[in-house]
Amino acid sequence: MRISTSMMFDTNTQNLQQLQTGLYRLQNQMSTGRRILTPADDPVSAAQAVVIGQKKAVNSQFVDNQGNAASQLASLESTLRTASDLISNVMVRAAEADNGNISDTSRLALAAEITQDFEQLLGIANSTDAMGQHVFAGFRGETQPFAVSGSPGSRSIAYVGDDGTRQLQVDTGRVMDVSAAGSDVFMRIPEGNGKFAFSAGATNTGTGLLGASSMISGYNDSTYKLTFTAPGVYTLDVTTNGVPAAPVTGLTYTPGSDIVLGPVGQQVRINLSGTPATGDTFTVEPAANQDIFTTLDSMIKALNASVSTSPATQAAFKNQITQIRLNLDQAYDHLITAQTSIGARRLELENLSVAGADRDLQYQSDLSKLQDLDYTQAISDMANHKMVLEAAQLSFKQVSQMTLFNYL
Amino acid sequence: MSTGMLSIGITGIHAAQLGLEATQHNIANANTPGYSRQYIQQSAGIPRLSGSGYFGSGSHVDTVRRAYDKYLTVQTFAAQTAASESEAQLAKLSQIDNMLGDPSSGLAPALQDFFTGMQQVAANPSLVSARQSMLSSAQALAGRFSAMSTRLGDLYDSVNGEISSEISLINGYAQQLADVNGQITRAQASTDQLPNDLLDMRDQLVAELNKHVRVTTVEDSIGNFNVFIGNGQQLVVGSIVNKLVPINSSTDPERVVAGLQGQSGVIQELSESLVEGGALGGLMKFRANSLDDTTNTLGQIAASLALTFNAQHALGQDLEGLNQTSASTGFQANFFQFNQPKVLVGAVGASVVTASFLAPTGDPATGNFTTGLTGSDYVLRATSATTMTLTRVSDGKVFPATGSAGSVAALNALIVGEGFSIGGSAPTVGVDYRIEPTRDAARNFQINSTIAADVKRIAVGAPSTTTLGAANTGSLKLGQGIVSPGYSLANVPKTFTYNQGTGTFGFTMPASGTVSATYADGTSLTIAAGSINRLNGSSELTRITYNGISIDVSGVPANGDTFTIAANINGVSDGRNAVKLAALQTQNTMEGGKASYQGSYASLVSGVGSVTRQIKVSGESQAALLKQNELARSAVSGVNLDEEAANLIRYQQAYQASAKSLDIASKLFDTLLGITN
Repeated sequence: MRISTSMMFDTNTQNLQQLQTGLYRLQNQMSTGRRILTPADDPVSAAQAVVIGQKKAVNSQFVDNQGNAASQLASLESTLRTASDLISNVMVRAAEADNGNISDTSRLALAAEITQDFEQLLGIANSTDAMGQHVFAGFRGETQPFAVSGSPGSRSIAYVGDDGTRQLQVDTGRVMDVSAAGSDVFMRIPEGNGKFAFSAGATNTGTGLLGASSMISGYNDSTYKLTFTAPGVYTLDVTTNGVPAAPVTGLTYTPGSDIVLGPVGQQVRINLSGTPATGDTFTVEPAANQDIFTTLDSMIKALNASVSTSPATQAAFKNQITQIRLNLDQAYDHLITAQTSIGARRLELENLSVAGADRDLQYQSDLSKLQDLDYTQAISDMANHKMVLEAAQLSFKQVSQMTLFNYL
Repeated sequence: MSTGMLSIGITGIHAAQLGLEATQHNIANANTPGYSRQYIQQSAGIPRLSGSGYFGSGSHVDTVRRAYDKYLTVQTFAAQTAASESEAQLAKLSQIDNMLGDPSSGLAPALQDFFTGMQQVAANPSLVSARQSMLSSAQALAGRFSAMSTRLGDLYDSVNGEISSEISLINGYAQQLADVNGQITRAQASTDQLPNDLLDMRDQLVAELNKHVRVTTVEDSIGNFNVFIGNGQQLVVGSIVNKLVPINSSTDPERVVAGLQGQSGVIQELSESLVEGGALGGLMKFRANSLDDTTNTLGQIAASLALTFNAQHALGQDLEGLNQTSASTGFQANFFQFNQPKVLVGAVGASVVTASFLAPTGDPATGNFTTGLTGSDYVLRATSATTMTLTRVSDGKVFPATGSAGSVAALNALIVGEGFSIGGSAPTVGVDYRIEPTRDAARNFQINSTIAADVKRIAVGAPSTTTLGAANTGSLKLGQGIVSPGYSLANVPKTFTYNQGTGTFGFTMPASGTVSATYADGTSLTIAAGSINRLNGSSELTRITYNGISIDVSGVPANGDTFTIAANINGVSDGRNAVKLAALQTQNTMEGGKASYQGSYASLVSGVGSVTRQIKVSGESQAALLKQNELARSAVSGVNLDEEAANLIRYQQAYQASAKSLDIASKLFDTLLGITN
């Protein structure tokens, strides 16, 4: 085959250029650490890298949100724990007040203490977070949620927040509540034993004392009213779904014994002791809601009232305290339930963030597999390319010098 | 006898001289592109009869030939035009490839930052600084869209410019070729000898033409090359040139295409697919296959993002409590601003047809918003007053609205899945309207300026709230409420009260609006009177939808328990809509619910990458083929300097030998003269 001189030069130039392009590419890969310099190098991997890159970023956003949610929940939990500790303290005081030997002075001192507790609890309920947002105001973060009017012992409380709970997306398909509305935490608490309230009439003159009350087999939301018509004899009025039944008269009362009310299968048990006077009433009715503040305020009111040595007023006081203690139990349970639910969410968050960290690692390693340069391979390729280029340059130099004209 | 000797010597000298000339010519043109090595064709002179037989009369140079193989040359042309096409295409394509591939300048990080900003707003709805930072990332996203589309626009402009300059180069070569045609025919007419260098020059001109566009040549009877372009359009006939002219495409005035100007002056538009090969073909292919696609897909992502994000944003409530239903103005439904689809009219004076995006479909209460917008262009053509078709350019699918009822409205009903509708005047019969829904969408992608000026206008909250009655004793639980498009707050607050006896939620039926109930088994009932059964058969009530406000219901209410749907007042800490907006990132919002924003971008990246890779690979193989062809051609036609050096010596020696023979003849003559002396 004939070789034309200019073709020899052209071919050599082209070959050198190709080798240099290869070297440039390798050098570029090595200086950036990226295997894929442009999508054309590996279109499928480049697209996967975009998709996995987004998954990784979304995942780390979720991990951020989880951290954010965890800190909000932790702060909420600690606020609620303060509140439940406070209620627990009030429960001890209520137990003290329930002691029959306590004097009026001591009761006043207790009342003063509970008044302080009331203020503290109100402070907790109206507390703000680091951003100045009211924690328990629902969505109305800039509105102070609990407004109190009146003086201790006759206060009324209004909730002016809403029922909103703030939410964060903490995982694909998982939006988590990270706040609790004050209406839910402090307001909607059932009284009595949670199902029904057993109370003594406000105008009772006897010494009938409320005892334990419980469900035997269910409660059909009926109202049972016991009216004493003579010592040791009472009439039972039953109202079911707003429909009064014919009164049952002439029932015999045995002090300290359990009374079972309601039809079979929906029975409740109450206990009454002492000696009710004629005309005294005792009622079992479905539990309504009573907010914590009203419970505390009614306790302050009860403690502030002077209890003379009259057995009737003592019995009335004792009955009030019995009810208040039940309500405090309910409030305490309610706060603890809220904390438990938060604890469960925090546990979920911990699990999620462990899973999130695992996923992050997985995405990172996937991305690295797709994009990152194998340096061992690259360095070896570089040495190889370099050698070939040097050989090409040297051989070109020598071949190009060989011409017959040198000898003419 | 001696005269014979002298004349033979002279012919030898003459032949050697011509040989030397040809060799020198070869040496001088060793590096001339397209040059074919020349050599003399030498033959012995006609013998002269003498008594002793036929004696030679010396040497004779018949002609000077070029070492030339027609087939190798034509093969080189073909390889050249394909290689040049790939090269031009690749040069442009790698600009897009680099832009998409750069991890910091691509769309992916900007999109991610934007949604991260949204998540932060969701976490801190009342924090103005979080909103500000989300706005900044939105502006960065808009900036990225605009930078990328500007870059693509620049490429578009540069393709237009390069097409014009390619065309003028082609015209230049065509003119030169026509001139050389003339010179060759004149040269051949006067003698029978071939003008080798002119032929080389003409071949070289065809080669140059092929670098710019694929041409075919046919040699006519008198030796002219007639040059054809496209599928047989005459570019050069003998010495006459039909000029190519850059013209604006009839379908798209912003698109420069090639037109062929005949001798009568009429310009015939050459469609893009006709112009193949060479740099011009490469540019056309790049523009039609890659640039349009990339621009449209980017626009598709921008428009889909704007449409779906705006649709969800419109259902929110801003920091000042304004929402879509507020009596006072100021609520900003749209977070992003964008332009409606572009409609290009194919003829002057035709009626004005407009196109507009359809609102995304879907309901956030049950899923997410989706738009069916595609990345394709469309051509609308009315063939009569009641017959019109819309053709999707990407795959040629035709939507026909024909028959007596054929109208724009009928057509709009057919194309509802394409994400836009047609409006304006009825299309003029016989005129092509080119509709480009997404072409400029990325360029015009902006943040609503009112929101940009006041971040409180970002609708982060939701317009409704639900509240359980304070005296509720049952375990009734409510969802936070989700509003659907077209929701109304006209009849709230609305309280629902549970009646244990009848097992229903009672409420006052609003004068207008709709109420429906959904049960666990999926049954949905429209409620006509003010009472909703808690149980449908044994299936429990799961959701109440009141005038577009959906409330999830669970738990067992006690008798008399209530709940209330109300407007969201002072709800500054509400981030419900922000959570919904942020969730759009990972949802399938595009292509009718088949792709996410980032997924579409990833397929754009891989699409451009694949095409680039394919062109790169085919370009390399075409370059290798070209090299082989050139090697083969140069093996025949190329100049080898060593060979020429040998030829120099050969002819020098021949010259010297012939001169010596003359010398001897002269000496012989002298000898004869000496005798007479």
